[in-house]
Amino acid sequence: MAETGKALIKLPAGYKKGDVIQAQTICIHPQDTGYGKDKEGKPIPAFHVTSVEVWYGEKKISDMEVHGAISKDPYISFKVRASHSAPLKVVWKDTKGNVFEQSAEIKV
Amino acid sequence: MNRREVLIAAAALGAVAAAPGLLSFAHAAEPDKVAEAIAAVTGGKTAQQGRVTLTAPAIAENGAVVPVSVEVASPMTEGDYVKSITILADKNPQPRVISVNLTPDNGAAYLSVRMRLGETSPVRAYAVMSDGSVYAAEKSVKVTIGGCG
Amino acid sequence: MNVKTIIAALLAALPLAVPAWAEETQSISDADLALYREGINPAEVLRNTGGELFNKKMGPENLSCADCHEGQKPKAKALTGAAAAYPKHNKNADRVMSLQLQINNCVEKGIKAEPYKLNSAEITALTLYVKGLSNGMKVNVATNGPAQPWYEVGKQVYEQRRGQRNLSCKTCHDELAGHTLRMQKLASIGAGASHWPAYRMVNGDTFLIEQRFKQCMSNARMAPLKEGSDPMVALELYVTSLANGAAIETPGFVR
Repeated sequence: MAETGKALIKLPAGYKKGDVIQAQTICIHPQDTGYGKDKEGKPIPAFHVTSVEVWYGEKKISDMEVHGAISKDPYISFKVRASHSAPLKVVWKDTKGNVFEQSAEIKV
Repeated sequence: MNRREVLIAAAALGAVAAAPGLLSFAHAAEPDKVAEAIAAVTGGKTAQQGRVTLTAPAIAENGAVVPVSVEVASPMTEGDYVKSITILADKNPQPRVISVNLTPDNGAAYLSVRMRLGETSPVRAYAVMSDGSVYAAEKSVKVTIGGCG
Repeated sequence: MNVKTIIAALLAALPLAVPAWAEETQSISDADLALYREGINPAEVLRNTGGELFNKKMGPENLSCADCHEGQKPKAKALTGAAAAYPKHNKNADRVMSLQLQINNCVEKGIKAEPYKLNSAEITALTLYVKGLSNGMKVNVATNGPAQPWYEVGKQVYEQRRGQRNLSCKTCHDELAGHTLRMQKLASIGAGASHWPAYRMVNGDTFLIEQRFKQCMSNARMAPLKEGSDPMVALELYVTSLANGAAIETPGFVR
């Protein structure tokens, strides 16, 4: 049940309009690099997150190119200026074309 | 002779060379792969020192999870902001770790991740500014093998 | 010099631990260790799954854990603080139960559904969720009364040398605590139990404390005890009792 694609976004408490806040994100994912081998010595094919997009309301404020060197269950944290009330949506895509989404509300 | 010295002596005699499986260098990146990755970020520009703060442990007990964060001094206004932050690890089979494109809406140029290091390696952070200038910082992280499982 | 003399000489030269200079240069600093604890513990995602399982309707009467323990007319006690007393003696079963055994007991007897496997992600998730309801409260397991024989057995399991290396838990975690084993400080057990279940970076996964005991036993070359078996639950009771009085902080985030 190590549920690939389950995600979590954490925002700090007690910020006000205009503050720059730190968003922390995690997405459960095996992040197989393609360099590993299984118990029988067979290579494990690459299976990792390739991109992350950050949307603040209707606007994409950030995007990322992600490689297999990001650890299992990718933890990525960035900052955002809390200029208005809107959902902060993070979208993860992986090498198999899976798309995972998670949102957190920014309220100012 | 203690265990360490025995191992050193054995290595000197070439005894270890007979068992290459013990060594983990098989996948380490070629030096030009690193240069290529750097050039892709900087566009051939020489990176300047300063503005970039790279935080990483001096010793990572576990190469599978190494906390690395990058902060770049910038006003993050429409006229002057950090366009991208890239993290590279020289000795990884694929030196590119992550690149993030930023906008003034980020409010601050900051990126924090947990990353893998296959072995002891320099970790580099590159920041490309909105005026095209490039800043960089580097830190060596020593990867040791943990103890009992 | 015969073979025995050579072996004896080599053994005498083997240091018990890495010399002090190596500790200084190879061990992770406290400041660096703090970097690891910043950010999200991946086990928090599993705890959320535990919360979903807590509310999942199961069995012939379509009941969830929450139906009995929460809501308008709870049939059973609210679970806030409950986990602090586990492992705990259960009168009906006439045995000490770990929290995970108690959860399964509820699933089987209360909900009348199939209990979870003790090494499943589901039971880890549920245990993490229920234990989380006691976060910030103090570990308070009983070692007297009906729990006392279990405590005594647990202490014995902890102290009993066994396996190929003739080690006990006590050898490394009491007698050699503070020494270095392969570049790593051996930790005294202390209040360690207060932050389990925990995410282990080495494995990139979340484990129950009994699963951690099994890993430790394998590394020490002892036959691992089975999760939920009497000696294992007794060991969990003993080790958890060492954390009595310490604040519960789960999920832990450990090397």
